[in-house]
Amino acid sequence: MRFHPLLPAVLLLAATAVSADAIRQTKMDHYDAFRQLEVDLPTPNVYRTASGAPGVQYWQQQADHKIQVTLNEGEQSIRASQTIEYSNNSPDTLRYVWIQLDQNRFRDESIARLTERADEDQLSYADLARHQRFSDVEHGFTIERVVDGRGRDLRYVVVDTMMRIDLAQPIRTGQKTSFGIDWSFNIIEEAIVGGRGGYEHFAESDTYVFFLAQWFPKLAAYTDYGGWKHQQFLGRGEFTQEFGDYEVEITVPADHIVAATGELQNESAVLTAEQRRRLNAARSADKPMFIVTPEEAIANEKDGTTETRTWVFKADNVRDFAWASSRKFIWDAMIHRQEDAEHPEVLAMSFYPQEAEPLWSQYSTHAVVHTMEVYSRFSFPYPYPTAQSVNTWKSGGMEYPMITFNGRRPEPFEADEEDENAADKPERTYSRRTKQGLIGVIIHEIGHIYFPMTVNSDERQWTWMDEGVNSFLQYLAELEWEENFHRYRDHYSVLEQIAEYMTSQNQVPIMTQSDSIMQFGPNGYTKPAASFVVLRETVLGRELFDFAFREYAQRWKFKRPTPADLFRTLEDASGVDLDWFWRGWYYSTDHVDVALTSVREFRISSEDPHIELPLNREQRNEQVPETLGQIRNREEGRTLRVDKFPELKDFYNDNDEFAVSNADRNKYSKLLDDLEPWERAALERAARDDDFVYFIDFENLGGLVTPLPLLITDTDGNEEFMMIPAEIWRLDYRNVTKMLIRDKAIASIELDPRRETADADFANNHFPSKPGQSRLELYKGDTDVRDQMADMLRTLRKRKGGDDATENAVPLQSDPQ
Amino acid sequence: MPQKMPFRCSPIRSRCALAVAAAMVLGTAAMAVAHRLPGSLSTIKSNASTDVVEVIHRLHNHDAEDVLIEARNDRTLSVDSLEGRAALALYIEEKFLVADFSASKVGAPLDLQLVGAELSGDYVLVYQQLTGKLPAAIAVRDDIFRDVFPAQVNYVNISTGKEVRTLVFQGQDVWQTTELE
Repeated sequence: MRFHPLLPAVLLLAATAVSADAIRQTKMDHYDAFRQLEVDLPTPNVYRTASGAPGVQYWQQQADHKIQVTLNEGEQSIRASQTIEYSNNSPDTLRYVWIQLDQNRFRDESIARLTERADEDQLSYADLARHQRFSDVEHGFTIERVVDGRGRDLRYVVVDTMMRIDLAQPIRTGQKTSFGIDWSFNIIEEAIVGGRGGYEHFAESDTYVFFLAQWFPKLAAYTDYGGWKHQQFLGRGEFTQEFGDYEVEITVPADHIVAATGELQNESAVLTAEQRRRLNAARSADKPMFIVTPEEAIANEKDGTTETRTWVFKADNVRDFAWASSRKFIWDAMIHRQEDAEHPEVLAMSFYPQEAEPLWSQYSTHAVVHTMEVYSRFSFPYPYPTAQSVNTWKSGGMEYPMITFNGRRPEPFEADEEDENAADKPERTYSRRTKQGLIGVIIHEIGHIYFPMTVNSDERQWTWMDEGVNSFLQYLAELEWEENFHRYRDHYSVLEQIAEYMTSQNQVPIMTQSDSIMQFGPNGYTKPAASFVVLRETVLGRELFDFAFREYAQRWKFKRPTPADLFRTLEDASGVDLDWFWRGWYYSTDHVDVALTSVREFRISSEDPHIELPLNREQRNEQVPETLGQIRNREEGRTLRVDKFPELKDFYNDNDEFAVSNADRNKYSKLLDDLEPWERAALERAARDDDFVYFIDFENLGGLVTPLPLLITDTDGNEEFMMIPAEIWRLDYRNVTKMLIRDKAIASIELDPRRETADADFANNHFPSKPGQSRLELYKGDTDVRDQMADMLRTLRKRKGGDDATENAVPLQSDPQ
Repeated sequence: MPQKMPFRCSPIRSRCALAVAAAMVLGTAAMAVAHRLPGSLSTIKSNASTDVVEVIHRLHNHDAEDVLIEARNDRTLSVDSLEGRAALALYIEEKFLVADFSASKVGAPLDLQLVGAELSGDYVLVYQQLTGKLPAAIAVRDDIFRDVFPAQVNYVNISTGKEVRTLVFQGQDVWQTTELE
């Protein structure tokens, strides 16, 4: 069993994991951090190869959906009729199919609702409002009809957020079947109920933005590695999806603008001549152009209509479909050009209410195009004809094929009361963080159109495969937007952030099923993103990593990869054994903390007594000063006995212990005689070079093996950077000694000077050891900042004395019974 | 006199806890950047060179802002401003307590001094300190943001010098204890 003094909780994990292995260390506590993963990964087969590519018989199902849906704005509900054509490409015969009913998560008796937990004896206004909404409005699907292709009723059973339809005839491999479902539901108010879609109500103008996601009965995925993927939707673990072609007719009030997955098919029926002219102009514009201007959108808000229009959208080879509709929408667009035969031009668009201005018209569509430029370089050309960003809420974001729902809005501008020019000031303003937050969230959500909307990983099972990979690419795209993009400044990079988390005891490995993850953000997003940064910048280098990562993206484009496919492809294409890396970062809860514990300096001895013994004498005299009493006796002129009686002197008085004796000479001569000629040459060369030899000890305190980047400074001040690969730990993952031979003496060594390994503690990274300042000490050192804060704290404490802090509390009173 | 709500607490409870402020933006906040769940990480560590126990709370900006807005009922309050960070620091001071547990019962809370707060990327860091050393055993209560986000999970990493002990606060958790020696 593995020895790990730092983290007792890890011991348990390791013990369980190890006992399940065929290979076990049953004597001593050796842990092989470099043991190959092959026994732990799924066995390669005809569907997925040992090199991480789709196999010769790789298959996936296809589910094409046609939907006619009508929005009832007054009742905030939708009703639809849809048909699904399902192609069975699997080698299996299917007697029934499973359908996802994601809206059922909001039903009163859903697993998600029934398993919500209370927080002490507290009731918040939010909880209260949510409870009231659930008792006023019934949520979840009403299934009106399920029929086969000929209109005959099919038997079906609803199991929470899933529905099984029993087919009249089994579908064999290569066959298709079709069936129809009529349904309706009340749309949730997202701000009250909480979800990934719904509507937002703007009370001041009594207007709505509708954004529909997880809104239609959808074929559940059937896979080679897990059969039907019908784990219930509890709200967190996202989706496992099938690709298919969609044709969706959306009927909405005639004054609405609709944004949706896919391409609009009937522009002339739903847009004015002026809007069509502008849209055509935008199709060759290098900067965003308005199709609906802010002024037009504000004017449009004021009217209402009882008429309706039907917007028709088509989308090919997508794994989901989402849409948004409102009379509030401002609409802008520009073109993104790329090297791609299928989609040489992509129409980038943004839709947002006036409350999002002036921020959105400035940044949203540019951020959409920037994402495509960066992500395509790292993976493949953007694979669809449109890319859209829709403002649907204050913060947060969600992703769907070709369309994303994004947050961040400006705040009202508060003019100084004494400002005479207050009237000229803008109505709204935004902070740097809101601006960068908007750019960041759009990059993240548009990025999801690549991962997992195109590289179709299983989100419900492996959050990190889309969130981690995407957060990593988001980081790269943010670095390319502008320098010092807020998140990574102040020496507080993604690697330093994650190091704090990785020292925690109560973590789970990244390879944990989504709904069971503790600390979802660090585990599913930041830790895998940090791991890819380490892999790209430090372990593989950019050239090897970028090639291998692009290979992974291209192999699995429009297919369904599993973690093993990613691990294997990155090794296969880079030519570097990364099993230690996956084992440490993905299968364990270790962290990186290496200490530089000791440095010892030596010179190479020539063994020649005529050279070495005088040197030894010199060294001894430097190290051991003459006895003080002897010096003072000499100064006093005290006569020694051997001077008084010279006959007492002998050989030893004339020769100290460093004098060369015959025995020394004979020993040296024998040594030279016994040496092979090449050994003798090496010794003579070393005597000439007079190099310094160093033994440097490293201790791995965190457990995770890592490369060792070293900055070595010699006594003349020259610096040399050296990267020791992680394989130095292969025989002993806890302690290792590195030998260096240098022609100049070393003055200092710094481990990980560029902060690239996610080391959790830099206090033990220096020779000679260097007292580092803690983050709190650095803060306190900035006296200006500290004084300002102290003043503000005093002011607020004073003010608080008269403040009604419980203003927002829901007052409860105990029952006198 | 608090206004009586149209429901009653269960009679088996001796008293009802005072309810607390809440964010109506709960759903949105809980899924900031594609559904990141709210969580905080606090570290307690003795600094041998200054003989000070350093307490650092790392909070996501967006979680912090939603809590601030509700607690102060001021939509313009942001952690971008000095006042916003100071208000957040005062909130943390109320919600995070460390007490002596060396006599195996929760003693009076230790006098953690509020040092300040600063932004660091997506996070705001709030600093507290305690002069001297920690008792041999401590009890910790971490209610940060749990009044607003029911799904909030707070981690407290306590460094003993030799190892890191982690306490997790969620659901019904109140006081948790750990021995340091």
